Amino acid sequence: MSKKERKRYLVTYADQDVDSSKASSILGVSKSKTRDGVSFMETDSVPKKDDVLHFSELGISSIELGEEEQSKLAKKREILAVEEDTEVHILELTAEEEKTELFNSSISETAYSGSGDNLYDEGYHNAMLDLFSSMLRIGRKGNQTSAAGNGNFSPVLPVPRPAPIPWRPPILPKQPIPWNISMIHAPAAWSRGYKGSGVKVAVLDTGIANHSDLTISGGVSFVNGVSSYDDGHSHGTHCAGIIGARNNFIGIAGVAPMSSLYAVKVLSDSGSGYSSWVIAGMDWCIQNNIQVASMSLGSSSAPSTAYANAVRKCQEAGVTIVTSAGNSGNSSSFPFVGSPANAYQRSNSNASPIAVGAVSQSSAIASFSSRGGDHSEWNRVTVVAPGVSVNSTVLNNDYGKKSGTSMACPHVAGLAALLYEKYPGISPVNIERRITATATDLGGAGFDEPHGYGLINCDLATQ
Amino acid sequence: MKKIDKTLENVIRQHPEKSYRVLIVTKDGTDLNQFNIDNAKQLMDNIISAELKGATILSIAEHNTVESIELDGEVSIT
Repeated sequence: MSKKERKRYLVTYADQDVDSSKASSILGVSKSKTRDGVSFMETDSVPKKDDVLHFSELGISSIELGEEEQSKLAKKREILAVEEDTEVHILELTAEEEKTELFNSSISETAYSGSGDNLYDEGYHNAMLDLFSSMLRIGRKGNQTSAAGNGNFSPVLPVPRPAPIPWRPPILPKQPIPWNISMIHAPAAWSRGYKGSGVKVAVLDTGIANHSDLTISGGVSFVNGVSSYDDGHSHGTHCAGIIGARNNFIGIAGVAPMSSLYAVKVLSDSGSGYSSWVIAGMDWCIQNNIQVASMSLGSSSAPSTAYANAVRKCQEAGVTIVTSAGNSGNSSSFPFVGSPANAYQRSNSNASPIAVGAVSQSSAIASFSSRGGDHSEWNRVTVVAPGVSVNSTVLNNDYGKKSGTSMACPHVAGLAALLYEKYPGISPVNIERRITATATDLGGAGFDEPHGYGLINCDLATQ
Repeated sequence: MKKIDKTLENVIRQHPEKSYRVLIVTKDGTDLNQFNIDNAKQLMDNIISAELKGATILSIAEHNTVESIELDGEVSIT
């Protein structure tokens, strides 16, 4: 290896406490040639070719080596690295670079001097134009130089660099708020901090299907021969979305978007089941400390003692039962509130659920919405909620519109969840009182047969 | 016989030999084993469901602790 090919290297030792003597030994040089780096450089001296400068505080030596020596030294266990002592330069901009920088800054500032997106887009557009025109200029100059045949390619520097595009948070689409959620003023309750957080809501229905707009916290199936609480019908998934679809920039948002949803499958995938399955599901709610049970189901039957008992047991245990009033509004054979919504026990308000009728977007009572009772010992419609053409989550991660008092019921269940969050430990009877006292009166003054106490109002209820 | 739902009672009177799927509600604190129903399923602490012959249903209704017996009716989505 010729002397000309020797370069100065920086040797870093594995042990940082290497002194001058030990460094000499490791490097295989004479101790007399190993000098203290700091004091040597303070004298402004230039090291001779065989001088070794050792910086004991850093555990680094500077030594001139040939390529082979460098390679051999780098393999020693005591040495961490052997790196070329490269030239370093000041980081000050040249006058030309400074000019370019000012130009680029002006583009950047223009992009952000306004609050509108147009300015940002314009700045980005300009920067891109500059970038491409610069590239074209280089290309042309290069070609011209080659054509001239002088052999030396001299790019014109500095080239105006494209303005750096500072990071900006991505512009996410806004969460669409469905008309039914706006109609009952749920967003006002959210802005007050009540979104159903920490409240357990069970959907007693056909199950709940996996959906990117829903988070299912758990569940159970009471359908004979079916162990999964998955939904093969879509009714339960639709109701679940009305209660608790997430406020996540996609699809829809439910009334209580932070509530914990539980799928209690009591109806088969054909949409039907037995009262025994429903009552078993209600018992599961008690066992699992559910706070709200949403039951969008029923039959055109007179009040049942079994349901009155089951509702009473649930509500005494702190589970608020919300049911759909039924869709027999136009029926001549049974124009009454169905079972279990009509459950009633004399002198025991815990035995009756909140029975929910349906209204349209224009607050008109839905023709199908069940109303009234056959005699005094029937539970009546308590309140109404949106139940015509309601968009919500369905199977296959999709969305769809459905109508029925089934759709009205989960709105009230969602409001109950907001109230549990606002008033921890509140009793089901007081949940119902709060909901009826703050409802917007519809139809005749005060309580009336088709509307009950009126349209629920999440804003007033959570004030 | 007021403990038995009127519709159910009428059907049983006509066909006591047939089996019916029923819900039996008892007073709180009742020992449900006293009815000796083999296929009974306890739904709540005072509610059981079972498929029983009409004659057996009439017999169970005689117990003082029984509050009501009704058909385990079908329900569907609304």
